[in-house]
Amino acid sequence: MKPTSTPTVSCSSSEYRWLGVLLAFFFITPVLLVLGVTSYFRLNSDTRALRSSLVEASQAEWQPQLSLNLGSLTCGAIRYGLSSLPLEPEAHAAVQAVRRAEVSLLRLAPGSEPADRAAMLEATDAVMSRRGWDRVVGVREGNELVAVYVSAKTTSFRRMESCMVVLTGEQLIVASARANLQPLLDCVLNERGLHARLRLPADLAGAEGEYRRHAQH
Amino acid sequence: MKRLMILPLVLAGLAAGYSVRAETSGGEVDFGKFSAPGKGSEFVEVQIKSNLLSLAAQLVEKEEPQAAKLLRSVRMVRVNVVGLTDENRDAMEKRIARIGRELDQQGWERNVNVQGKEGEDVGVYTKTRGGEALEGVAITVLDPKHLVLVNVVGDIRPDQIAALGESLHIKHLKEVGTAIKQND
Repeated sequence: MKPTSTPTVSCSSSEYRWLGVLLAFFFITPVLLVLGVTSYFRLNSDTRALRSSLVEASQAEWQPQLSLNLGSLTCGAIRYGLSSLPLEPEAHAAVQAVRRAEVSLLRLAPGSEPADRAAMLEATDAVMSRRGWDRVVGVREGNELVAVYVSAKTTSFRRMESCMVVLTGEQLIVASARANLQPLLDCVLNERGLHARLRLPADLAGAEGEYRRHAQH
Repeated sequence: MKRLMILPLVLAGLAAGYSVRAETSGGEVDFGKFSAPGKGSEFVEVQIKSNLLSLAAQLVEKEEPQAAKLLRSVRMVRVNVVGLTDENRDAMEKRIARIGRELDQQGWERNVNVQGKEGEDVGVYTKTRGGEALEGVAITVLDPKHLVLVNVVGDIRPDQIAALGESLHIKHLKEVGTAIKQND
C-alpha cells in the first residue's frame, strides 16, 4: 500500500512581502486620509497660541464657529489651478503670493462680556513675544481691537509671516498667513516702470518669477 | 582646578553684563501704558523693528539711497496716537508734561518747541551718543483732537535727517534735522 502524501502549500518570501505591502496600504491609507482631511480644520501652533491667549485674557466664554487651514500643498494646487485663468495681473500676483493661510472665527457666548481690551492685548503680546512674534500694529476703538503680529525672523520679502486679530463686540477673528511678496512687488514695480531704472538685486528682481510669464500673456 | 572653576563664573558674568546692555537702550522712551480710550476716541500703536526697516531700506535703496541709509541706521520706530476726549484730555496733558520732565532728567535735549495758534504743542527731544550720532529721537504732538508720540531709536546722524528731508522735499524734516545739528 502506497503511503499517501499530504498536499503542501508553500509561499515564497516575495509573496509574503507583497502581502505585507498590501495590508500596510489598506491600513495606512485611511489613516493618512483622515489626517489630511482633519488638517484643514487644525490651526498651526502659533495661531492656536494666539487664539488661546486672547480667549483666556478675555475671561469670557467663546463659541467656535469656524477653523480653516489652507496649507502649502492646498495653496500650491490653487495657484496651479488659477494660473491658466484670464485674471488681472494684480489678481495673479496676489494669488501667487499666498503660501499658507488659516483663519479661526469665534462668537461670544450669550451673557459673556470680554475683559479690558488693553489687558487682552498686553497678555497676548507676552505670549506671542515668547514665540518670536512682534506686534507691529495695535488699534483700539471702543469695543473693537485690531492687532497685527509679524514673525521676528522675517528678513526677506520671499517669506513674510504674519498673524492678525480682529475683535469686535461679539466676534473674534484670528488669522495668519505666510506669503512670498515678490510677485506683488514685481506687479507694483512693473506698473511704475521701475524695474529697469532700479536694477533691483536678484532677491527682488524675480526675473524667472511665475508672475512675469502671466503678465506677458 | 581653580582656573576651571573660575572660568564658568567669568563667562556667566560676561553673559549677564551683555544681557543687561542688550536689554537697555538709551534711545528708547517709555511713554507708559494707555488705558482704554473712552467712547468715541481711539488708540493706535505702530511699532516697527529693524528687520522690517531693513526690508523697507532694500526697496528704496536705488531710488533714495539717503533714505535707505537712514532706515538702516534705525533700530526701532514706535508711534502712539491717542484720540482726545473730554474724559481723557486732562490726563493726557499731564502725561505729556510728565514725559517731558522725565526726558529732561534722563539727559534728553529739547531741540524744537512749537506752540501753535490753535493749541498745538510740538516738542522734539534728542539723545546723543558720543556727540556725533543720535541714540534716540522723541517727538510729542498735542493738538485739540489727538496726542501723538513718536520714538525713533538707532544710530542716526542729524545730517542724514536733513538730507532725507531735502531729497524728499519734506520741509519740516529738513528743519528738524538742521535744528538738531545746530544744537549739537
